[in-house]
Amino acid sequence: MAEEILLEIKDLRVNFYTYRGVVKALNGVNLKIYEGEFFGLVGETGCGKSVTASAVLNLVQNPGKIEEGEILFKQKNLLKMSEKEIREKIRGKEITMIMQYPIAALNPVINNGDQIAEALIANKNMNESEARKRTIELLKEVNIPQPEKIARQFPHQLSGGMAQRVMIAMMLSTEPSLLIADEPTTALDVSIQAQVLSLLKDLISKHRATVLLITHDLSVVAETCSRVGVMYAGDMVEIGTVDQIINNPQHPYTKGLIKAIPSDRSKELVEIRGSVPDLVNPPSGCRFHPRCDYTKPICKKEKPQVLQVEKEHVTACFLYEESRNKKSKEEYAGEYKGGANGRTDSA
Amino acid sequence: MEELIQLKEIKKYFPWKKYKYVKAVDGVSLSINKRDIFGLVGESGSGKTTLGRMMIHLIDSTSGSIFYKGKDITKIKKLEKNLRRNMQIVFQDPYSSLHPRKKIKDIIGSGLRTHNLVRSEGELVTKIEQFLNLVGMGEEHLYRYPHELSGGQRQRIAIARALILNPEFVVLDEPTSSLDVSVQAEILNLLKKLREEFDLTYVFITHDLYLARIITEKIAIMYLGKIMEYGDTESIFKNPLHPYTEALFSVIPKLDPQKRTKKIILKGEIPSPFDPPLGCRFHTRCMKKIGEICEKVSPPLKEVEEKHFVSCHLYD
Ligand SMILES: Nc1ncnc2c1ncn2[C@@H]1O[C@H](COP(=O)(O)OP(=O)(O)OP(=O)(O)O)[C@@H](O)[C@H]1O
Ligand SMILES: Nc1ncnc2c1ncn2[C@@H]1O[C@H](COP(=O)(O)OP(=O)(O)OP(=O)(O)O)[C@@H](O)[C@H]1O
Ligand SMILES: [Mg+2]
Ligand SMILES: [Mg+2]
Repeated sequence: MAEEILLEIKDLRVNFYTYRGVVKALNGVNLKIYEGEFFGLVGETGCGKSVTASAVLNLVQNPGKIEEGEILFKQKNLLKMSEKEIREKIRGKEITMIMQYPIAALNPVINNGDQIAEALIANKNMNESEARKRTIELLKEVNIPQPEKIARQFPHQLSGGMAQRVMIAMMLSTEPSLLIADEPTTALDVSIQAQVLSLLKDLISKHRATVLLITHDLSVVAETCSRVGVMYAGDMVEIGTVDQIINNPQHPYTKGLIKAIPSDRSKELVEIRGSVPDLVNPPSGCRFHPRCDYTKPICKKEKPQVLQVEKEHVTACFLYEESRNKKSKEEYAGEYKGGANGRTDSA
Repeated sequence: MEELIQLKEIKKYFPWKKYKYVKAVDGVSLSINKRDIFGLVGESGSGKTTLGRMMIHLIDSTSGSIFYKGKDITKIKKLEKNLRRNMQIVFQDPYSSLHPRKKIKDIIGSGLRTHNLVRSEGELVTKIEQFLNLVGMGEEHLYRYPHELSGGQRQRIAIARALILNPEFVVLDEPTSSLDVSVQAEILNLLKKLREEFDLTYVFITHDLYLARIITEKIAIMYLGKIMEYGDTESIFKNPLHPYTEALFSVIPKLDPQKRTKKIILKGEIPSPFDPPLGCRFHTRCMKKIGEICEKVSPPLKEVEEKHFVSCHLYD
């Protein structure tokens, strides 16, 4: 079965023009997401996860500007579409998004049921009674007890976990092809997080949707995703299957991140020295170089190329390039020349 | 091992409208030894912060006793200065816990002044510089304001402010939960180092079980104002006895597939603290409920293994 590319981000650059200067938020991000997969995007605060997501929906907020790049969704470049076209065909329809604070994302003066019903009427050409009926079905589907009662309540009366379910019901109502979930469980307790994640997994496989899951929790990604991209300071530093990233990380930042998080593996935490740079003045060359233990002169000068480690596994690091070159040149004679992604399209 | 603090049947009921109470902490007994790092772990609203604040007399308890070095501090209206100085707290949110219009020097130094611990301005500055260095920051920060610092730097300031008074007992209320993981590692390692250096006793509040495992030596697992299980951290992780603990451990996301066990997904949500379930607090969601006794009788904390206490009728 050939895996189709649903979304491809090519060399995406986003800047924010603030009074402090230009925030170089995305520094040429490349990414492919295949149909039906659960793709995880991880990284620390400010590395550009949410900006990447908002660019896909053409929602980069002022003073932000998409400077360069392509966002191909079902082979069409979203950045070439008019706002009207995106609003009518893509946003909230083909691509929907759930956020960290669902209560803030829901309309406070419309009851929970009507929020979903309105989406159905607007997007699915249903009449009112059809929409109401479908709303209750959807609320049942996301395991909301007493759906009729919850439908009559307002968002602020919901707990965080319940609100996230309502949000998921609403997002699924339009049967999107791509669901972007930006930290959907970060504000929730572990027991509720487990409920929401397992619900999301079940529903996605049932509805055959694709998910871009944004989180700073690598363990969540390890449990729910098939592939993962690691971002640092506006760069995609490594992409691979969950197994490749967790068990055979190549980029020093990925390695550092795994050792710094409290997990089932750690007996102690290893720091990554320094801190995330201010993106008004990002470090030259590889943006991770000031914090890296293996910095060489070239790291300060040039931005590292994206290199293939093995099938589906790529990283952008001079250290990897060097060690690979040492190993053998011929072995890699047929070097991968594609974009920054874990797979060769036409191999 | 010398006991530093002991809680006996401590309760905190917050009044809420007329005739209603939030039973934030509802009968907690535990003891903490000197030099322990004692973890309070539990989901949101379980009463961790309230309990931590009662321990250092930041808020009054509704009933019960707290013995600090043998002295019941709940009987005292206002802590004597010396005791106040001995007990410090670091709050969760480094963005709101530092006064925005005060310079770092005044933030760290104000306690030294109120407790008359320095005789001259020169001594004050020297001492502040010493503690800035201790938490890994330079003197250049003395005259800066909190908004000029990163989250991790602010939390270092909060730690310096607490430790400069030379306390014995520090409550750390989720000190790293608003920080990035790489910064979190740094702050935790700093806290560990300072514990050795100053012979400190910590209560470490967190909802992150793996974090608790790394930093604490003992933990209490809280649910709706009560302790479900408490004892040596390693022993609880090796052999969780309470069904709630077992369920929590099963659902924490894990990196390694081999370590994943079957997830026990708890039904429903945490009940309201206004009228928590009778009997065992957890019975409405428990997958191992044995019968009526769970609905009617609140199980006492019982030492089931050596230094491993559980509050559950399974072990009657
Ligand atoms: N409206 C804005 N104005 C100025 N800068 C912005 C704006 N939005 C984002 N940025 C900057 O863009 C960069 C990327 O931010 P982004 O929100 O994508 O991070 P993130 O990875 O989602 O982080 P978090 O984990 O905190 O959500 C940051 O440096 C941020 O300061
Ligand atoms: N000042 C107050 N007045 C009324 N209710 C309160 C007050 N402080 C706390 N509560 C309630 O007491 C219960 C316990 O709160 P507490 O803050 O101790 O929980 P916690 O375990 O620290 O939770 P979190 O993980 O969210 O910080 C909650 O139901 C809370 O709403
Ligand atoms: Mg974000
Ligand atoms: Mg708290």
